[in-house]
Amino acid sequence: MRLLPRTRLLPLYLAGICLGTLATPARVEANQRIRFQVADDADAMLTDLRVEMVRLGEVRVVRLVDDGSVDGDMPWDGVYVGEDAGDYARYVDVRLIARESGGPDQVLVAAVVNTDDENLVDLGWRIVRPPDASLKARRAAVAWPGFRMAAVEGLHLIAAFGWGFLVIAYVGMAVRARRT
Amino acid sequence: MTGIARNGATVGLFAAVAAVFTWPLLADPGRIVVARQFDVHGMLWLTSVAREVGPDLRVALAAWPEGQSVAQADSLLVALAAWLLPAVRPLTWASLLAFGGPVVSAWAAERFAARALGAAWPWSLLAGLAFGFSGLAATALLEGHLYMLADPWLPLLGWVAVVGFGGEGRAWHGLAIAVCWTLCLLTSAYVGICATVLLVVVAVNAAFERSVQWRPVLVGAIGILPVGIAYAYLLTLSRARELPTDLAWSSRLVVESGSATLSDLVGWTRGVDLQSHSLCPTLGFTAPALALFGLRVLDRKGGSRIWMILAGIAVVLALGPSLRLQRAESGLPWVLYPLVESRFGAWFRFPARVLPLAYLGLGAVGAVVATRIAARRLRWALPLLTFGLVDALLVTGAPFRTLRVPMEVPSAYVDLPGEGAILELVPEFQGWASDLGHDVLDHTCTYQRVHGRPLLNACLNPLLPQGPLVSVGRWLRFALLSPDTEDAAIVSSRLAALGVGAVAFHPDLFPRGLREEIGDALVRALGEPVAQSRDAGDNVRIYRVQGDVGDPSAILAALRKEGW
Repeated sequence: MRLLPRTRLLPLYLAGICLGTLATPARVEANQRIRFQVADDADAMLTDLRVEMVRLGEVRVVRLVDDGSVDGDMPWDGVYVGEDAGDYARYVDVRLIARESGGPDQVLVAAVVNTDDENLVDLGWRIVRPPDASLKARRAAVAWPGFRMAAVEGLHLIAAFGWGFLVIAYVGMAVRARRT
Repeated sequence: MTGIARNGATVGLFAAVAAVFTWPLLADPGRIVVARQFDVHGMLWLTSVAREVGPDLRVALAAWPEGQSVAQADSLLVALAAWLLPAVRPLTWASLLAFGGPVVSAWAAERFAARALGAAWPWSLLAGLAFGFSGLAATALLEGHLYMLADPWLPLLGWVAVVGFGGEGRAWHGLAIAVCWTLCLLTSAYVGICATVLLVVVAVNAAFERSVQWRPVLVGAIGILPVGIAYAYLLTLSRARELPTDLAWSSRLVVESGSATLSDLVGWTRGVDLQSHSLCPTLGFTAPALALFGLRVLDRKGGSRIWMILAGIAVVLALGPSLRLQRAESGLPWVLYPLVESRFGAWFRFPARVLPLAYLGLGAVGAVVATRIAARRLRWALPLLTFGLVDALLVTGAPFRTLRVPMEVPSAYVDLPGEGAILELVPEFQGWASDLGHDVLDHTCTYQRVHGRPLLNACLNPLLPQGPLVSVGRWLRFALLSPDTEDAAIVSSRLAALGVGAVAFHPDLFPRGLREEIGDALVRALGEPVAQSRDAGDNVRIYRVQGDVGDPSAILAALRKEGW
C-alpha cells in the first residue's frame, strides 16, 4: 500500500492538506465573546464566583458556574466558566470576586486585560490559597473546559516531544534502509 | 518538469502553506492583523510616516515636539520601501509582509539548497519549509516583527558566498555578497549578525581548503565596510541602544527574556503567548533529524558540514546567557553570560533572533540527506515532506496562535476639530502590565493615519520610559486631581502653550472611581468633549484645548527651559 501518491502528484497532495485546513471557519462573529475560565486549585468551598467587568464604559456582571449550564463547561470539574458577548472591545477592566461559604466577598483580581481578538477571547485564572489563608487568583493560559490548567498548558509540548521521537525514529530507519 | 513549472509549483505550494500559516489573514487582508503582541503597531506607524522623515532622521508627528528618531526603527528596509512606495497603505504592507514574506524566504532557501548544496526537487522543499515557516517566523508573525518574515537575502548570501569564496569566484560575486549583506543588515540588525557570522565562517572554511579567490573577497569587503560604518554611526544616534533595566529586571534577565530555552526549541505552550511575548523559536524535527543522521550519510567534501557548524553556532548563541530548560528557571551560565554584564549586552538583547542561520543550515543539509535517501529508497523518503509540513504548521502552532485583530480607528478621531498635537491621556503601566501600556499607546499611533496630527507619545521602541507624554501626562493627571482649583484653571492655557490641541481620554484604562474623577475634572478644565465614541474597541472621549498653537521650536525651547 502506498503511503503517498506518486512524486509528480505530491504538490497537489500537500496543497490539499493546506486547503483542508483553510476550510475551517474564520467568519467574523456578530459579537465578540469573552470567555472566563477559572480553575479552583485551592479547593475552596465557593458559593459565588463572578466577574464584574467594564466593557466599553458599561458595567457587566458575569456569573461563573461549574454545573455545565454554560456552553463549553464540563460540570463539577473544578473549572468555573462564564461568558459575555457584546461589541468589540480591545481591553476590559475586570474584577474577579469570590465568596466562600459563610464568608464575605473577596476581590481576587482587579486589572485591565487585553481582549484583542474580535471573535473569541479566553481569559483564564487559577485560584490558589497562599500560606496567609486568603484566596488569590493568578493569571493562567487558557484552560480547555473539563481539564485542570497545568496539564493542558503542557499538552502541546508533550505532543511535540512525541512527534519528535516519531520523526527521529523514522529518519533513523530511513537512513538505515538506504544503507541496506 | 521544466524549471519554470518547478518554480511555479514551489511558489504555489509555499503560498498555500503561507495561507494556513498566517490564517485568518487571507480571509480579511487590509483590515486585520494576526499578531498577538504590540510590535506590529510600530511597523504600521513607520510605514505611514516614511515620507515625513526629515534630514535629521526625525519625524515630528510623534514624541511631539521633540520628534521621533527613525534611527530606532527595527527595519530600515521597510522604511525605505514605504518611502519609495507611498501609495501602499500601512495595512497592505503588513499583509504583504506577513503572507508574502515566508513565501519568498522559503523559495530562496529552497533554491539555496538546490543550487549551493545539490538537493533535488521536491526534497529541496524541506529547506524552504524549515527556513520560511520556522518557529522564529511564527514568533515574528505573532510578535508583529513582520519584516523578519521577508528574508530571502540570507539564503541568497549563502549561495553567492559558497560560489564566490569557492574556486570559481569572480569579482561580481563579491559585489553580490556586499549587496546581499547590506539587505540583510537593513532587514534587521539580527539578520545582519547572521549574515556576518555566515560570511566569516564560509570565508575561513574556504581559506582552510585553500580554494578562496581573493578578488571577490576584496570587492565584497570594499562594499561592506562603508555600509557597516554608516550603520554603526546610525546606532550611536539612537538612544534606544540601552538595556531597559530596573530593580526588578537586571541586564541578565532582560537578555534572557530575548533568548531561547531548550523547551522553546521543542514546542510551544499557551503560556508562551501569555507571558513570554510569543517567543518560541521551535527548531522542528524533520530537518534537524535528517541533518544529524546525515553525518553518517554525507561525505566530508560535500560542503554540508560547514552549514551544520553554522547551525550549531546559531543554536548555541540563541540560548543566550543561561542554559535553561524552561523560562521559569535561572539555568546554568552559558556562552553569552559575560557579555550581558558589559555594555555590549545592549547590542545583543534578543539572541534568539540569530536562529535563521540554524534553520537555513539544518534545512538545506536535511534536504540533501532526503535526496540521498530518495535516490535509493523513494518510499521511505516520501513521508518526509509531510513531516516537514507538520513541523511548519503544527509544531510552530502558528495557525492556532494567531488572532483576528481589527485595525479600525475610533470614529471620535475622524474629522476632529481644531489643530495642534493630541495628548493621549492613559495611566502609566509598570512592571508586568507595561506590555498593556505599550499596546494601548502603540494603537493610538496607528490612529494617526486618520487624524494626521502630532502625538506626544513615542511610536517606536516604546520600552524607554521617557518622552514628552510621560512628563506632560504626569503633570496633567496631577493638575486634574489636585484639590487646588488654581491648578485646574491653568490646564487649558498651559496645554495650549505646549502646542497641545486636544486631549484624548481613555476612561476604561483608569481604576474605577478615578476615571469619573478625571472625567469631571476634564469637563471643568476644558469643557464638554468635542467627540466621543465606543467603536473600534476603544472607549474614548476627546476634549478640545482652546488657544493658538505656537511654533514647535519655540515650544521645545520653552519646555527645556522649564525643565520638562
